[in-house]
Amino acid sequence: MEYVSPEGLRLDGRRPKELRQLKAELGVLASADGSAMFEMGNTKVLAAVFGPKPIENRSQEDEKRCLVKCEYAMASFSTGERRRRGKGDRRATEITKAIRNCLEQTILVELMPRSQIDVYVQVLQADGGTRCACINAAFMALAAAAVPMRDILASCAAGYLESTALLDLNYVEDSGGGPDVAVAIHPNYQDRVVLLQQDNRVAIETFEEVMQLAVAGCRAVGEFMRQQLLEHTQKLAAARAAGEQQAAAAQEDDDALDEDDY
Amino acid sequence: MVRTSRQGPELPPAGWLERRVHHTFRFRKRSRTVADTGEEAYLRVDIPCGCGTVCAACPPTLPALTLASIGGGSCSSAESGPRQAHLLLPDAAALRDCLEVLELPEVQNVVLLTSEVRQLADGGGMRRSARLRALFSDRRRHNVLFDNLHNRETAPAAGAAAAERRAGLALLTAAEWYHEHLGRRFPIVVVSDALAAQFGVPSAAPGSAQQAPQQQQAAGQQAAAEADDAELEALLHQMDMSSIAGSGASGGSGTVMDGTAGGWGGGGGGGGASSGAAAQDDAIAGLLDSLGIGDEPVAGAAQQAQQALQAQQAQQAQQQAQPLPVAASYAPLDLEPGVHILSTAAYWGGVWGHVPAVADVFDSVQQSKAQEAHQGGGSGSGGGGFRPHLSHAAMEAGLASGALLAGTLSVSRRVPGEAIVAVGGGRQLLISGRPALNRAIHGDRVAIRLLPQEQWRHAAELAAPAAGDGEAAVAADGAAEAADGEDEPRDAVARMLAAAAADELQPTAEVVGILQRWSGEIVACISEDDERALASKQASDRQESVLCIPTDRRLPKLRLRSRQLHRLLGQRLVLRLDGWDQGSHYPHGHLVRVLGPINSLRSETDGVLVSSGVHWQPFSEGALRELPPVASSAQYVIPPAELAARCDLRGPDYLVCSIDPPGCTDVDDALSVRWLDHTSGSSGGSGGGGSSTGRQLVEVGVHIADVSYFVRQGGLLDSEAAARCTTVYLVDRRLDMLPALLSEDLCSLRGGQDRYAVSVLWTLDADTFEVQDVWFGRTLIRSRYQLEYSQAQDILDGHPPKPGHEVAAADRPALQRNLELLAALAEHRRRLRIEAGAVELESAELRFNTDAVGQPTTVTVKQEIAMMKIVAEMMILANAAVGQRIYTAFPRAALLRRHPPPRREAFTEVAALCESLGRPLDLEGSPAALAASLAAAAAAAPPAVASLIKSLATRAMSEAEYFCTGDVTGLRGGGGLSHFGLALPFYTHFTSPIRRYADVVVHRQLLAAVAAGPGLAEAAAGLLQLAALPAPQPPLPGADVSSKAAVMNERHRTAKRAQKDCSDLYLLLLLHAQPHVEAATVYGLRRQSLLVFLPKYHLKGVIHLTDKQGVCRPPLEQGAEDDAADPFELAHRRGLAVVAEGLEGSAEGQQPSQLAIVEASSGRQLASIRPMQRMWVRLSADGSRVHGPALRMRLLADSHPEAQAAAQKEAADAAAAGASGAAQATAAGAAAAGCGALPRPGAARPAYRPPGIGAAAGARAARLELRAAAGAPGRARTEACGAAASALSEQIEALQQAVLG
Repeated sequence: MEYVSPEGLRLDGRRPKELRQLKAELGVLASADGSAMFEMGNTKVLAAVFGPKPIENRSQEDEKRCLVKCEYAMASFSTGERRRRGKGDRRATEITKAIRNCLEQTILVELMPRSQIDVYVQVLQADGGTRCACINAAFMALAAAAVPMRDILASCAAGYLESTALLDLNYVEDSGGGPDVAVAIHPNYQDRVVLLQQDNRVAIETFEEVMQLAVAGCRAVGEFMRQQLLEHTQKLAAARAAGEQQAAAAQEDDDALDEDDY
Repeated sequence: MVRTSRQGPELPPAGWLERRVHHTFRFRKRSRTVADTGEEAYLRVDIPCGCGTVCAACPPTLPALTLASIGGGSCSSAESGPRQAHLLLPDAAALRDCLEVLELPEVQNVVLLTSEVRQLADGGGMRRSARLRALFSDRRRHNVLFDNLHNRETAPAAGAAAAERRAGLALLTAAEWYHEHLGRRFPIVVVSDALAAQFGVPSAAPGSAQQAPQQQQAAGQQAAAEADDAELEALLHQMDMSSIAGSGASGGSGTVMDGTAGGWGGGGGGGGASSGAAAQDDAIAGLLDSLGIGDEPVAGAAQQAQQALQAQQAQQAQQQAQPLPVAASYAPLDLEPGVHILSTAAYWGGVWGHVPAVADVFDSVQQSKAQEAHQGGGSGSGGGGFRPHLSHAAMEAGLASGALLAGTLSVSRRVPGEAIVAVGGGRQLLISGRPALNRAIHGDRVAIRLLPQEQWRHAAELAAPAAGDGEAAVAADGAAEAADGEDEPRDAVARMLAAAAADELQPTAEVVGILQRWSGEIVACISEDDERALASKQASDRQESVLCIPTDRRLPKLRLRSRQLHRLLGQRLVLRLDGWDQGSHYPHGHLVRVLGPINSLRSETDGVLVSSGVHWQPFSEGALRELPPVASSAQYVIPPAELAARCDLRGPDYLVCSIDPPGCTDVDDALSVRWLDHTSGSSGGSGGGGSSTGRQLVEVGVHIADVSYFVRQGGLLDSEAAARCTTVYLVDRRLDMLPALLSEDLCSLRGGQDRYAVSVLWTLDADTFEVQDVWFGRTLIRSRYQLEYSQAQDILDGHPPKPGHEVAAADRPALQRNLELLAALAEHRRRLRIEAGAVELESAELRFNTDAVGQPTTVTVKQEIAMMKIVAEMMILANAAVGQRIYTAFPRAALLRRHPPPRREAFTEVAALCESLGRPLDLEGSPAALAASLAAAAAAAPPAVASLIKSLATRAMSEAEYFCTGDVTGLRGGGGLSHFGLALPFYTHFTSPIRRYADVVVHRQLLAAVAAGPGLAEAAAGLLQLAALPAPQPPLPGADVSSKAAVMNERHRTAKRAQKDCSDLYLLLLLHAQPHVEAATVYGLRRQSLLVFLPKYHLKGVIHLTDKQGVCRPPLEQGAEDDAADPFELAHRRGLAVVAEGLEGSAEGQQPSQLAIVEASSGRQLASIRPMQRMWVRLSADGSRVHGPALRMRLLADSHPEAQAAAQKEAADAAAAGASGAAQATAAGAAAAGCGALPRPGAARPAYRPPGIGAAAGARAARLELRAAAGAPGRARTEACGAAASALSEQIEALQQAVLG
């Protein structure tokens, strides 16, 4: 089967330079300090952040920075075949490290010495691009937890199949055997590249093209996340305003009571 | 800075509007599990419909449909015939089954829906998807791919994709969308058997949509014949309908709508079904209208088709009173009028029935499918559908009882589906077709069963070329036109056999089992289709299977499974056959190694070696350790014992010299002449008393390198040499039999070096050449001069030497005298042999000059120098003497070489040719008489024809072979030992031990013989250390000799084949790079083709006057080129016909007396061709990827500029040759007159001397030019040296060319 039709449509109806549908939801878990659900098409990732909090293991304490801990796991139902995937397999370890690395570069770790932030990322549904979705979800959860950060952390992958650079590969395209370039950037920090990973070999000219496409995708993802955060913040602000009004009303009631008391 | 550069372009805004997710399943091949997946679909509205100018809404696309409005005279504007003005939407099943039909150029405006294509691709192989892709990516076809799965209007509802797809609803939705989108102006046809069945169009048997197609078709074809009472009713019915259709034609699709609506609305009952049928008829009528068919005859045809359909439908309508169950389960769709659902049979038969190309292909598709289904049902295994092979025990029992026959299968090159098995007694059985071949391949030893006589084939049928044979067409790969020379004998044999059979029937047989599989290696490459499919995919580690096509046309395609197919793209591969399952179409094999890129010289030459079975590895260490421990001969010291044991011929009176081609490094023979004193002569002739006044005696010696001294019997080196058996000379390399230290140094009889030799010394009378004494033995010689042929010839003729060819002035007169004696002796011997019936044969030895990268740049034909014949004759003399000597010593164990007399039947072709020249051959008399009549005919014919006669005679000869005398003596008597071609009673190979193993064995036998035999008293002490036994003991027992002889014959054959194939390859490569125009002589005519002979390359070939489609191909005129795509040229050629004259008699095998190309309309004769006519032929080669370059011959008209140029050049050459020849014609030149025209070497495009110019002068001129050519660059010379050395050996016995099948 061909991945790009002569007319320029991909298997799922996107054009080569289109992202899948993005969805983000903040604060999905009540028990976490910050949480987010991030979807890129069928890929669905849940992230939860606990912290900043005092460090648990004193031996890991750093005088100058906070410790970022990360845990990545795939739900056994996340792929078509149900298969138990541990946290410790090679792929999971690699993705864990990639996520932690990105987050350490994004969080202002110097502001929170001797503390620790735990990030848990769980893939609920995998359909290609899980790595990028995890990074995006983790960033959103951190933002929800109000962890101070340098910039938005946006991640997106691009690939190259049938002489076409494709943005945001899904699973079928990902297993097409072409290169898969995963990029994470700080879009407001002059597109500083935070993560660059690549599977398979690719010619250097091709790589430039794919890389640029991935960066453009990251910017789009970053813009989307900014919008989501804004909305979320507005919602929070609205909620707080409502809460304050309520509180004020309650206060007034109290006052009234007081007045009554007195 | 860097960061700004990284700021790539922003993404375009997303074009999709909606996302739907469908829950589907995916089958995973590797784990064989079904997995759930969520399939996303991003829906959009910017997918163009691809309708070109008709649709204003969509952007234009590159492959665009070419719709024109129905009544708008689309036909008149279209240049290439009628275009259909309706859109065709096939469903997945129709795509799969009718792919061949859809591939026809006539069928256009097909909308391929992604839903259907994907459905097909999910289940189908790579190859089919590649073909599908070609269907919509080739813009000339005017087909489009429409992504209906992602068009918002046509996409299936969320979550329902799979179900809808299955029901074919996606197809209908798309059809309606198109109809709407194009403003309801164009009819849309959905071709789907399943839908047609569902919606009550009763063209299929009830409730059997799956089995429908073939039944339908069968029914459709037979309907007219079968029609009984129903026909009448149907006709009545049709009368009704035709009135509707008539009004429909004027009113567009309006009435069709009525019919359709009636069909849907009718609900249950027979009435519903029949009105459904009516709807379909109307649809067809409307569509025929849309095709713009107004002509009466076509309309008639359409009506016929309609009738047939209706008859069938009415019949079925009667049979089934029940509404179709499937249709009932679906609520009748509110189909748009103008959207028609037709079954495949109805559509192709009804709408396209009048277009023969389409109808034919559809019929054949249907038939092959029906056959497949039938066979699949029969064997129960589907796939290949072969019958099982018999068990070994059963085969052996059958063979023992005579119910089965055994033989080796040999597949026809031209028709790979046919094979011949020779089963003793000269009977050949034909095996025709894949089922009969039953998985046997070329070279297998098979058990066969004769088929009953009813299935035997008529000879006439057999002789006709199988032009329409589908199998042949598929396997030919576009290169069957110019058959190479190999084809001819087989055809001739088949014809002969057919003619010989009294009942004119060719017995046929079938293979029932394989006794022994052919175990060779197969040179192949991946088929182009698969390669394209692979290339379009990304590299993956999956194991996939591809079809590989062997270079040899006789071998079947092989299936190869590999994980690394991407590595094999564009490579020549060596495969080995593993087996052929009963259920599979193709055998499967495995990869042995990769030779290299296709069309690279190195890999193609390697391929030649592999396919001719030459195995070559470097010498083993153990073998090399047996060599004398020296780096070169300079360090080699002759041991004193050896010095004492050998006869020392290094004295000043032994003027030993070697005569070889230029640049030769492995010199294995040298000649010497010693003039004996008068006294010895008079003392020898003392019986004659004083009357013998000065009888001059002379000692002539032939000295052969003493290889057997270095290669001890039974050693490792010996076994290595025995395994190789012969040195193989290829154009670009030489595969040595012995390590270079021996072959080029220690054994090579170089000038001025002391060397061991085995010598034959004759003491002769210098005048009468009467042999007084022969001496054989080991000697030590020092060759005085290493002469080249031309150098020796110059000395002989007394010409001044060329630079670098000087010899000491003192030796020159002696050398000249010696050479003169040798020349006279050789001539004497030759005359004796010819009187005894020796045959002079001829074949061209081509020599290539190559450039730096090994590509051939020019080709020259080996030049005949008188000196070569002299040397060759001396070698024959030595071989014959040795042969006789070892035979007398070991009558039961001598290794000789014999050449059986040819079979008379093989001479029919030559005989016919000679007959036409007025010199009939003497086929009844003795071999000598045959040879004499052959020589007479050749002498009488013009040179080109003479060389044709010799060439044909060469092929008619049997093959010379090594044998052990013990095998033959008792059986066939003395006649079985002799050499027919040379007319010698005993012959062996003795003179080239460096490059032939047989000679090494003969050396050992000779030395053993002389050590033990009588008459050696004087040298016995110096020869072998064998004890002088009363009865000589052969060095090898007879049984070993005979098994060795068998190996030698086999190796010899393979080496020869490799050399010939390699030479052919280079010739074709050269012709590919630079086509030549050459003169050819027509030597035979067939009904549609002529047999030609090109004297220059000794090339025989068939030129077909028609191409594969049967369209005439006249001789090429000026400015014209063969271009199948040019419609004007094609139309012109279609108007021509080939007329064979002189075929009044019905006898098979009779040749037409003349072929004429006639313009059918005017009767004007464009060209005529008679036997023996001289024509200009352009030789070229086109590179077939699979089979390597193939020879193309194209007739040129005399007026063609290339032909004229060649003719002018030829005339100029002839004039020049005439001038020089007149001045210097010599006796030697006159002697060479018999060898016919000599081509000019060195010229890039040498022309041929026309008959009538003095051949003597020609020979002279050629010799002069050879001298000039000798100054050619050294590299080319060394390259050519190997070939020349091998050429010499051929010259020596002149017969090894004979008959290589």
